[in-house]
Amino acid sequence: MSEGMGAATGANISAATSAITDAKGNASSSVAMTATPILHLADAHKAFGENEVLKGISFDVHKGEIVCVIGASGGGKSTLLRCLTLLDHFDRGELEYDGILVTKKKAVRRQVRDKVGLVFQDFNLFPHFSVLRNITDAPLKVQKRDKAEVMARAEQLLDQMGLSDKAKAVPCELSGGQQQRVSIARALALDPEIIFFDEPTSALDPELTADVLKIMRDLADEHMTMVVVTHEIKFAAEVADRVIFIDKGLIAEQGGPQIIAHPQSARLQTFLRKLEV
Amino acid sequence: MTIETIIKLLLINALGSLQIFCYSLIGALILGVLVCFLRMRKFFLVRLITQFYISVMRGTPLMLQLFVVFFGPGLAFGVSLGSGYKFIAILIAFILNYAAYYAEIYRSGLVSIPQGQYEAANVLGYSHLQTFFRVILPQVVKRILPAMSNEVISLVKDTSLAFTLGFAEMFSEAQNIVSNYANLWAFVIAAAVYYLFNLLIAFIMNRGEKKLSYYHE
Repeated sequence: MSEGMGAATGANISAATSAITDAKGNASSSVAMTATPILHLADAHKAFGENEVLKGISFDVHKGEIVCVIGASGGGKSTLLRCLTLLDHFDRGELEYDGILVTKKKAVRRQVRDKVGLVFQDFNLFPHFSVLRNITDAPLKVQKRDKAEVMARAEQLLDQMGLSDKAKAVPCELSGGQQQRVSIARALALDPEIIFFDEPTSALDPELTADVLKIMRDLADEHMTMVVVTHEIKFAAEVADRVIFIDKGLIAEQGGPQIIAHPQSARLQTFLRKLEV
Repeated sequence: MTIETIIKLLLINALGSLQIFCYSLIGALILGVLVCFLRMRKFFLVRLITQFYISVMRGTPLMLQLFVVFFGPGLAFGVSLGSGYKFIAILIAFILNYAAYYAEIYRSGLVSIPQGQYEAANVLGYSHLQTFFRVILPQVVKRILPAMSNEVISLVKDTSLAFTLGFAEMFSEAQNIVSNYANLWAFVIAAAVYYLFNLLIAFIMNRGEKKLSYYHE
């Protein structure tokens, strides 16, 4: 899974773009695209009882793309992320990873599970495991990979996260920012093809937020495919290839990061104005 | 009657207490898992029956439960189960009673584990069994250990209730000595033996808690 990232070049952008369907029909990504998107979502619906949370969401994510999802609380962002990471399922609509249609069948979900990583808002590290074991347990016990290889990868990830000296610590001995970096390492250790972040800095003090955002910027530089639900508008404007603004269960506006500086829709304008206050 | 003789007699009969304790503990720890499992089923009727069982076990005296199990079969069906049944009846009553308490402790531990732990395990691809044994169970053990210590210590003391059925254990022997020889030392010594045994249990459980104190949530 370590073949050259972002392999496609500008030459096939136009061909790929025409294949993309999105709600607003205004796909505009600066990232090179391959024909089959890693993530393809079409007309996704989800309701809890009477409450319709997602009312038809469609978008694609291509290899190496960084998509930031923004929007007010209660707008359906978290539900969308839970369904995309298979913690829940859409009522209606089509979800594909790497061209594989996700159904409720166990075998399919297991097959797709490997491709998807998730970093939680409140980390959800395993408190009884050391930092190292948090990172290595799933590759060893779930993916049944070679121990030496997993250990080497874990060391490299810890180094990348600036946590080499914390391998033996348990999560409760770490700061929130460090815990979140461990949880990013834990997700990366499984070599997912796409990694989701659920407001990764919301549970952190402002001074710890910077560390985590830096790690995410580094990942973006390495062309890791990422979908980031975030309130960090500045981060989204700087790092995202595409910004999706979700409001009342629908994509109200999407486009390149410039839509944050120059929002087209009234709703995004209102949302951004509220953030400034 | 000398103190030594009393000690000897009591310790010989302490074996009966120890047997009740060990078998009941093992039986209740295991049955408790099943009860807890049933108590947490989604199916309403299963849950209701289990809840009823737990509330009866907790809501009526253990001594009365002992009588029901021991005399019940004879009174209700006229069957005589022989002298060996006394010990069996004691174990049945103790196991049924303590399993109800243990099940509730297990459950309290299980529901206290944050949903996020299950979700993290799910996202990382753990199977249900792996999630339970690798992620959930170790955390549950840590959380329920103090409550379990209490219940295990209670069980040690409750073994003395077997004397009401005339079973030869330490307390019934102490009672014999006191009433036949008017020697109160038997009670004092029996108390000391119960106390020391519970001290040992508390020590062991404490070691366990310390061992698991390398982390907190």
